[in-house]
This record gives sequence, C-alpha cells and structure tokens, in this order.
Amino acid sequence: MGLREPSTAQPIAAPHPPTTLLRVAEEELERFHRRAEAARAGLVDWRSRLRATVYEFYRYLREDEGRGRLLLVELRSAGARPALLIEAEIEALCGLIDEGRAEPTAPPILTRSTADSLAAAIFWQLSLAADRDCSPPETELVPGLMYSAVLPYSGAVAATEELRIRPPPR
Amino acid sequence: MFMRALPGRDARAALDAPPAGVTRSTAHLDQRRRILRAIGELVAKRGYADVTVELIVKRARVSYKTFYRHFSGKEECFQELFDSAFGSTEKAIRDRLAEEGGSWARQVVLALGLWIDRIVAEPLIARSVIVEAPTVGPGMLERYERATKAFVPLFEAGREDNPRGAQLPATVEDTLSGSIFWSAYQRLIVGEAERLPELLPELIELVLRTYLGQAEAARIARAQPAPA
Repeated sequence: MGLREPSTAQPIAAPHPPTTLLRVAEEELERFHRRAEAARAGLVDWRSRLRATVYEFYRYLREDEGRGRLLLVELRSAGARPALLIEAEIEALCGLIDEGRAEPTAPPILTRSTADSLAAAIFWQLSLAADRDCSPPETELVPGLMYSAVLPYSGAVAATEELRIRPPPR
Repeated sequence: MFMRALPGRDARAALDAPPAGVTRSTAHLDQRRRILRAIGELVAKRGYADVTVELIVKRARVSYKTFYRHFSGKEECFQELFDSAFGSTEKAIRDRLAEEGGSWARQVVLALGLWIDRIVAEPLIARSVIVEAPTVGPGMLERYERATKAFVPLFEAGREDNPRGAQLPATVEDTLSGSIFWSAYQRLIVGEAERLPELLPELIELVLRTYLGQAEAARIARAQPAPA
C-alpha cells in the first residue's frame, strides 16, 4: 500500500518517517483542497457546496488506496502535529456543515456542536469506506451521508431529496 | 541453612502483596484491575507511544512478572482496557434499559445520558480509549470501528417509529452513532469532558429527529433537566 504521486506514478512506501509523513500529508491535503475549491466553484447554495465537497473528498480518497489509511491510522499515530492535520480537515468540514444554520428552515436550538459531531462522523465514515478492499461506490455512500448532514438544518423533505440527486460531474 | 533472598526480592514480593481486605482469591483480579487502570491513566496523560511497561508496573504497583502473567505486552494490555471499558459501558446501558424499559425514545435518552455520565466519571480512561486508541496502530482499527457503531442497534429500532423508516438511508445509524462518539472525542481532546452533559439535549435531538420528526425530537430533548 502506498501513496502515488499522479505525475510520477511512483509509490511512496509506508510507514513514513514523521517529517516525511507530515510533508506528504500536507501536500496530499493541499491537493484535495484545490480540488474541493474547484468542485465548489460557481455553486452558491449551501447544500450544493456541501454535496460537491463530500463527493470530491470521497473521490479523492478512493483514487489512492493509501489515502484512507493515511487519515485513519498513520497521521493519528504519528504524533500531535500530524494528527492536527486531521483535526483541521474535520474543522473545515464542520464549518461548511455549520453554514446550514443560516438556512431559513434551521431550528434556532442548533449550535455548532451538531455540525461538529456530524463532520467528524462523516469524515470517519468516508475514510473507513475508502480504506476497505472493496470500497462502496459513491452513489451508495454519499447520498446517505448528505441526508444526515442536511436533515437538522433543512428538514426531512430536503434530506430525502439528497437521496435522489445525481452525483456532481467529475 | 537458608538461602538469602536475592536483593530486591522482598521488595518485589511486597509490590504484589494484596492490600488489606483483598483475599488471595481476588488478588489476581485486583492486580489486573490496577494494571488496566494504570495503562489507561498513563496513555491518557502521555500518549500510547510514550507509555512503557516499566511505567505501567510502577504505577500499578506490580512486578514485571505479574504484568507478564496477565498480558503478553503493552498492546495486549491496552486492547484489554479498550474491550473492558466499552464492554462494561454497553452492559451498564443494556442493564439500565432492561430495568427501566419505556418507549424507544426514552431508551435513547437513557442510553446517551448514561454513556456521557460514564465518560464524565472517568475522563482519563475515556480519553485513553476514545482519543488515544487510534494512535495504537492498524491493530486497533477494527475494535475502534465497532466502538463507533455501539449505538447502531438501538437507533435502528427507531425505524419502527417512523412511517418512512424503511426509506431511511442505510448509513443513517452509522452516522448518528458516530456523531455521538465523535462528540465525546472532540470534548475529550480539549480536556472538556465535564461539558458533555451540556450537549446531551442537542445530541438527543440529533438522533430522535431522524425517526420522530423535528417537533417531537425537540419536545423530548428540551424536557431533559439541565446538567448540574
């Protein structure tokens, strides 16, 4: 299992020494950030932006079998600084989910804690699924996650719509 | 003629001697308990990688021989801590639900409340098994995944209360159970386990909303007493 640089197709063997791991992880996550920003470009409504991000994250993870393992295990066991990279990613997803509180349908009782919990759970589920030998297709996983993310803010009708919305184009 | 005891043997024997009130028959269990508590507290404070068997035996006040009579090494010891911490919590929740019964929603409220209470009561052990366990390595992953799904069977029962229960996505219970689990993780990682009870109403609503609808979930969540 290894990470592959797309341009060189050269596998990077795991486990990595801590400084190399940190550098590799930072580069990998930066690559994902650029892709996620591109996926969200031109999208205005909250659900579309969240959907694009979640799909893109799963696509990114599935492209290289090492990425899920990197996030699930390697970074967490490599020390405080690498583990903080994961926290930063979850925090970014949390921020995006939490924008749902600005939706007109969002109940006033919601706090950022709801987004916090959902973001970490969704991040974990995506990473786990991508790490499996036979990871489920995105259409089997992502709509259900979107349902859970949207339900607290936009209600059951909108959440159920998520189950029928086609994936964004690649 | 008697052999003189090797230097240190008396001291080692004293380490393993059961304290007053602990009989020989329970000494074995008491030693195991002390070892597990020691590794839990050490891992919480220092991180798994920095904990050694030497530190464990000193904190647990047992000898190396005793430690290795119970466990083959640090990893097996931690796995036992993990399994016993989650196992005892699941048992406590099952027993409580069996004792009190009530509607499904009531059971969710009880289960979440009891889970949070146990974390607040033992924040170091909780931090050890919830925050530090993923750092142990790939060997813990399967156990950890199971732990994040601990509430799935209970939540799945809620589908019967929802006329559209069969249409809910298959991932819902995993996401909800994970959300509960990761809420604790987020508080433990910043050392705020004591704030978890404040989250209980919102977590109750998060779960119940999926099965009972927003209005009923909010009504039940807001009926909870404020944390002490």
